[in-house]
Amino acid sequence: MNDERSHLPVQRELSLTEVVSHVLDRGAVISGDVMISVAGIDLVYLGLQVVLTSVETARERGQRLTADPYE
Amino acid sequence: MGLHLYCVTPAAYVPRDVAGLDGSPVRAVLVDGLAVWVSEQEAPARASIEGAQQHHAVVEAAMQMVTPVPLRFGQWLADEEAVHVRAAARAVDWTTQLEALDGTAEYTVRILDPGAESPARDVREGAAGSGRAYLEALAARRAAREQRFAGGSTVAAAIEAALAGYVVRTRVDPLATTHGLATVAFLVRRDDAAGFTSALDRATAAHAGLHFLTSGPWPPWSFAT
Repeated sequence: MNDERSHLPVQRELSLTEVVSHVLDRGAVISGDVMISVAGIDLVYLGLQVVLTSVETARERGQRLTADPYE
Repeated sequence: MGLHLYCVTPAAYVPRDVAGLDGSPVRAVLVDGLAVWVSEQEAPARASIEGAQQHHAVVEAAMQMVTPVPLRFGQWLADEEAVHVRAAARAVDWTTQLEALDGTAEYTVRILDPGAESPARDVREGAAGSGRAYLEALAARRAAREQRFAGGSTVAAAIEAALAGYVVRTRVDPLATTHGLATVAFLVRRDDAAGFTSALDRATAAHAGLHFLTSGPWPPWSFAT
């Protein structure tokens, strides 16, 4: 299988999952009404498991680090 | 109209032409020298992938100007007065955090061991019907998880040691996936990003047999409280 073709979709999916994981599971809390419940966090982990399994199967390293884009 | 909350910055940094949930315009509520980034939202937002992406995009927009205190998705207050009250209560703490986070970004490393034994997804698979077997399967699964995290913590410590000089703070959490050993978050000065990523590549290469999923730079999601 073409390495590059198999790698790119995994990267996109991983990036999406990383965003979801960071936003739903991390960050400061100001309001007592945070909508993300334990069930929500379970969903994040479930999604991560699917993606990470895909990555392992592809034997790829996953998303590469980039230089700081904020500069 | 209620308000959905995104992040906190010093008052000098306010959103300009930033779109939030469902394209709603993001504005700042100024409280005690801080800007709380908000957009109008009739009711608390339900968690969704799209919502998480939109929320993250707003925090990234703040990150273009200054490192913010990111706020976890799903926080909604009934009106601006409520934002004032809550933010005033956290103002000293957030000011301290903004000073500590200034000029930094987060990098995430997920450590996986492809050779880790997969626990049964459902403990009933390994327990032939008896209550005792069920409890033993539960205990075995927990022990395996703890063992994986202990191993992950050891690897994380070795990597952190190799990155000395680049890392401001480190946070290590369990990674609750089949082969997950740990999730490591590094807080790094943006000026050091290039040196950090090179050093991280070398540090992870020293652990043959493990897989490392690296991402960043992120807003400091794991270091804001």
